[in-house]
Amino acid sequence: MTASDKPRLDRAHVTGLLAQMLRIRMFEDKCAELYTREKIRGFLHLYDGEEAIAAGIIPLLGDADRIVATYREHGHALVRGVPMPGIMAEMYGKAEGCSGGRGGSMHLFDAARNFFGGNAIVGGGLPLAGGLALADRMRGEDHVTACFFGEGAVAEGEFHETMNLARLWRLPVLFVCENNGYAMGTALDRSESQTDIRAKAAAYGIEAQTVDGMDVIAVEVAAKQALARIRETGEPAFLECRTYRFRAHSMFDAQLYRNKQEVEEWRARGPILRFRDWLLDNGLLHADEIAGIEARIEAEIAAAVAFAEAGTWEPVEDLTNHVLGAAPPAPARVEPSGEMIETTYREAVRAALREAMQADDRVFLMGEDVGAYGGCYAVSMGLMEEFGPDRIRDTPLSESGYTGLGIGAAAVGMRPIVELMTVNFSLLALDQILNTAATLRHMSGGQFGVPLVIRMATGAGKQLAAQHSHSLEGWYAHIPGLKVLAPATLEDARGMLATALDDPDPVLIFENVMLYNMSGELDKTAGAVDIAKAAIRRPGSDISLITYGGSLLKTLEAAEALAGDGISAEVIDLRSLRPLDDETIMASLAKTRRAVVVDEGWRSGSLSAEISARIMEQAFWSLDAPVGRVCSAEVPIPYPHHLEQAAIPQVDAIVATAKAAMGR
Amino acid sequence: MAVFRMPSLGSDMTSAKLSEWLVQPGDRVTRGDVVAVVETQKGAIEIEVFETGTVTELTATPGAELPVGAPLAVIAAEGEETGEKTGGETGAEAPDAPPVADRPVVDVQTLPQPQTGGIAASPAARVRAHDLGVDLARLRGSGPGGAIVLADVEGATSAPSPAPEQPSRSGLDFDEMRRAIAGAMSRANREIPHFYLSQTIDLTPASEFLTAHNADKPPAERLLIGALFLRAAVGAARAVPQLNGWYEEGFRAAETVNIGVAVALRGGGLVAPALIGAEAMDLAQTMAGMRDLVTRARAGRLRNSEMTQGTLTVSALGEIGAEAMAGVIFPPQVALLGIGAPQTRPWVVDGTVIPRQVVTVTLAADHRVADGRLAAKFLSEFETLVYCPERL
Repeated sequence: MTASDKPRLDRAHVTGLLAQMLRIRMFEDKCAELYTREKIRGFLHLYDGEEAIAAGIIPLLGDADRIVATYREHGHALVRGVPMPGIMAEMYGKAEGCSGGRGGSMHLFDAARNFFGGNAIVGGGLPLAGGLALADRMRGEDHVTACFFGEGAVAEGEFHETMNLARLWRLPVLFVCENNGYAMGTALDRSESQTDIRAKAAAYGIEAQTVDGMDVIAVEVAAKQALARIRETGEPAFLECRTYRFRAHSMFDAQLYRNKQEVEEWRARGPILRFRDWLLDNGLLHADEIAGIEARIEAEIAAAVAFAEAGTWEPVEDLTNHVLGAAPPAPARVEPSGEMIETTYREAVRAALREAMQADDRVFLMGEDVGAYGGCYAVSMGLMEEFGPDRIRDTPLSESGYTGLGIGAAAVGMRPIVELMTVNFSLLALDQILNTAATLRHMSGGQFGVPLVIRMATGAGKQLAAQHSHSLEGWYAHIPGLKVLAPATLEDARGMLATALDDPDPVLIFENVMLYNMSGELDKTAGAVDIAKAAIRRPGSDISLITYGGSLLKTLEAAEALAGDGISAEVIDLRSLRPLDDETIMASLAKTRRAVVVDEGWRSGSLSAEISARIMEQAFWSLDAPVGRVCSAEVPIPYPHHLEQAAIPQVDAIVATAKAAMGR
Repeated sequence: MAVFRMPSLGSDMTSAKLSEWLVQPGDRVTRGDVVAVVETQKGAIEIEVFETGTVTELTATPGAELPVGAPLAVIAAEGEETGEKTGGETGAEAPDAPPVADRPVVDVQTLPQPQTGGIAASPAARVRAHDLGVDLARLRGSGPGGAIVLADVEGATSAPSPAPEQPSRSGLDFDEMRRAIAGAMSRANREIPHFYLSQTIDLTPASEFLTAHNADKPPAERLLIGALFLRAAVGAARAVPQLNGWYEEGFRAAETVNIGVAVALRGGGLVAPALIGAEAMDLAQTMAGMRDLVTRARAGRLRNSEMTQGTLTVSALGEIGAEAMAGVIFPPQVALLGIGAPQTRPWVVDGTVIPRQVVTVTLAADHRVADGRLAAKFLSEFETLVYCPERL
C-alpha cells in the first residue's frame, strides 16, 4: 500500500463521508414520502443501502472528470454537487429542475458538473461513457470518466462491447458495477451462468477488483487506487462493489423475490450504520455532532422541497423545445467554376470525407472495415494511409458499442462520423441511435447535444438477399431528434457531409448501394449544400413524382417516358427525409394536383405513407386524383435477380401509376 | 396531528385493500416504521409512515378497498394532545396540478393550404360537376376554406347559385344557367325512367272559392289559383310520401314537403326554388311564400337550401298557354307535377254538357320508386283537394 492508497481517517474527512451518505439516505427517504403523496410520479428508484459507493468514489473525481450513471442516480448527482433544490424540482417535473423538468427521477443531468445522467436503458450508458473517454483519449486530455451501472447490465451486449472497446482503445474509464444482487427482481444466479462479475471484466484484460460496497472506506481506497492507475496508464479499470438495496426496486414492488430475513441481514451491516457505529466507538465523532449533521440535512431537504413546490410548470406551448438545437444557416452557395471533373458517387463521398478530415481535427471516421480494408463499399479507400488509424478507426463488429462511443465523443465536442455497413446492421445500434443520440438533448433539458454523423448503405439491387438489402431510412425518419438525409446525386454525395457535420444534432446519411458506381461530372468547386430543402430535379405541370435516393434515377427515367406520352411530370428529390420539406411538395402539388410517391421502403407504414398523409392534410382540396405509391413489395428482399428487381420500384411501375393518376 | 393516508406506490395504483394493521392506537411510531400491509395488484406491500409520534386512531378497517389518499390513521406528534379526533377531512391533498393548454399545442389550422391558381373542390364534387356539366368556377363553396363540396354542385343542378363575384340580379349569368339546366335535365332524362299520368279537373269550385275569398281583400292579401295548386300538391305529397323525397342510391322519403316552384325568369331561364316546410303553411302563408320566392328568384337572391332541398316540384304554365305539360323531373327528386293553362271546355255536369273552366295536370314520376297506382292516388288526392278548396 502506497501513501496515496492509505485510507484517510482524519476527522473532517470521515465526517464528510458520513454526511454524504446520510444526505443521500435522508433525501431518498423524503422522495419515498413525496411519492406516496403523488408529488413525484413515474418510476422512482431509490439508492438506500448503496450510499457508500457514490460517497466513496465521486469525491475523488476532479471537476473536469465525467460521470455517467443509471436511473438509480439521485445519490450520484447529490455527491457530485448537483444542487439538491434542482434535483428535487426535477423529481416534481418543474421547469427549475436540473433537467428542466423534462427528465424526472431517472434522467438527472447537469452539464456544468459533467454529470451525463440519468440513463435508463440498462447497459446503454456504458458506450456513452466509452465515447466521453474516447474524446479524452484522442485529444490527449487527462480526464477520467466514471461509469456506474448495476450488475443487471453485464448481461447486455453493450456491456461486453464496451469492455472490449475500452480495453482495445485504452479508454480512461472507471467502470463501477453496483452489484446489489438483483436485476430488478431477478437474482444474479437466476440470470448469469458466471456470477463472478469481476471475472467478466478481467476476461477483457481490464484491471478489475471486487470490493465490499457496504464499506465506504474500502470503496474509497479501491477507487483511489483504480483512479491512480487510470491516470497513470490511461487504461480502463473495473470495480465491482457488492452492495444491497434496502428498499424495493421501485416504489411499486411487493418484493416477492426476496425474503425479509435477507433484507434484515443486509441492513444489519448497512453502510451508514456500520460507519457511524465505528466512528462513535472510536471517538472520531460524537452523537451530538451526528444529530447536528442530520439537522442540517433536514433543513437542506426542507429547503429543496420548498423550492420544488414553488417551482413553475413549463408552459405547454414550449412542448417541442429541446428536440433539436439551432441549426446553422444553410451554407453559402459557391459559384460554379464551370470546370467539371469526372467522378463517381463513391469518389464524391470520399472527397467529402477527406475534406472534412482536413478541415477539422475533431472529425474522425469509425466503423467496420473503414480503415485497412478501405470500406465495405471502398468509400474510405486510402484514407487510413492519409490520416492514420486513430482518425480512420477500424472497429470491432459492435454496432451498438461504437455508435454509442461516437455519441459520447460527439457530446463532448468531437465530430465523429460513424459508418454502419448497411442499414440492416444499424438495427444493432438502434438503441443508441434512438434512446441516446435522439433523446439526450431533450431529456437533459437542452444541456447536451449530439453532433454526430452516421453514414450507412441502404437499398437493394446487388443480390445481397434479405439481411443486407432493405431500405429502412423511413423508420429513422420517424424519430424526433434525428435528421435523415438521402443524397441521390453527385452534388449531394459531395456536399451533404460537411453540412451534416456542422449540425448540432445527429444526422443520418443513407447512401443507396446502387449509386456508388454512378459516374458523372461535378463542378470542381462543389462543396457544402443545404440539407433542409427538397429539390425539383425535373420541372413539370401534370403530375408530381416524389422520390429520394436510389429511386431518383428510375423516376427521372419514368418522367422521360411519360413526356413521350404527353404527360409533363415534375420530379421532386426529397433529399431530407426528416424533416420533410412540405413546402416544396405542396407547391408542386398546387401546380400539378396529382402525385405519385416512389419509395424503396415497404409500403406498410412507410415514408411514402407519411408523404401521402401530409398531401391529404395540406392539399386535399386541390387534388385531382388519389396519391399513388410505388413501393417495395411486402417481402424480404429475395436473392435471385429477377425476384429482387420485381420486389423494388421500377420505371414501368412508376409510369403506370402516374398514368393511372392521370386517368390514362 | 397528522393523517396517515393510503400511499401511492405507483402511477398505475389507484387503490389498495388494507390487509392488516401492524400497530394499535397508543403505539409509538417512528418515521420509516412499517405500520400496515396493503394488498395491491402486485401483491402484498408493507407500507411505512413518514411521521413520528403516537397512533391515536385507526380510521380504516382491514378488508376495506381504499383509494390512494384515503385516511387510514391519525398520528399525534410528540407533545401533541392524543385524545382529540380529527375533523372531517377525508380527501387527499390535491396534487399541484400542472397547467393545461387552453388551445391545442399543435394547431391543425396552421397547416398551410396551397395557393392554387384553381379551385378548391372535393373529389366527389369534381366527379359530379363533370357528370352534370357544371363549371366549378361558377359555384360558391360551403366546405372548409370555401372549398366546393358535393352538395354545392348538386345545389347547382336545378339552377346556378349566385356567383360570389356577382351579388346582384344583374350579374346572373344566363348562359351558365342554361348550361346548369341542360346538365340537370340531361341527367334526369338519362337516369330517371319517367312515366306520366294525366287528369283534367273542373276548376269551378276553386274559382268560386277564390272569388269569395278575394272579394273584400286588398290586392296584397288576395289568393291566386297557383297557391291553391301548391297547397293541393302539398296535400297529395303528404298522402303519397313515396313521391316526396330524393333518389340517391335508393329512395329516401322526406320528412317535410319542400315544394319546388318552377319560376320563369325574365330574360329566359327557369329556376325551381323550394318553399321549405310548406306542409306547415296555410293557404295565405303559401301564397306569401310563393310571392317571396318568385320575387327573390327574379332578383337572384335565392338561398342555397332552397336550391338543394326541394322534395317535389310543381310547374305551372300560368293563365295562358298550352293545355298540358309533361315535365322533366329535377333530380334527385322523383316527381314533378305539370299544370297546364286553364281552358274552357265542354263538360258534363249532372248529365248535361255545359262550358266549364278545367285544368289538366300531368304527374311525371320516377318508375324506380313509384308505379301507376301510386301516381293515380296522388292525382286523385290532388283533384279532391282542388275540388274542396275550403279543406286547403
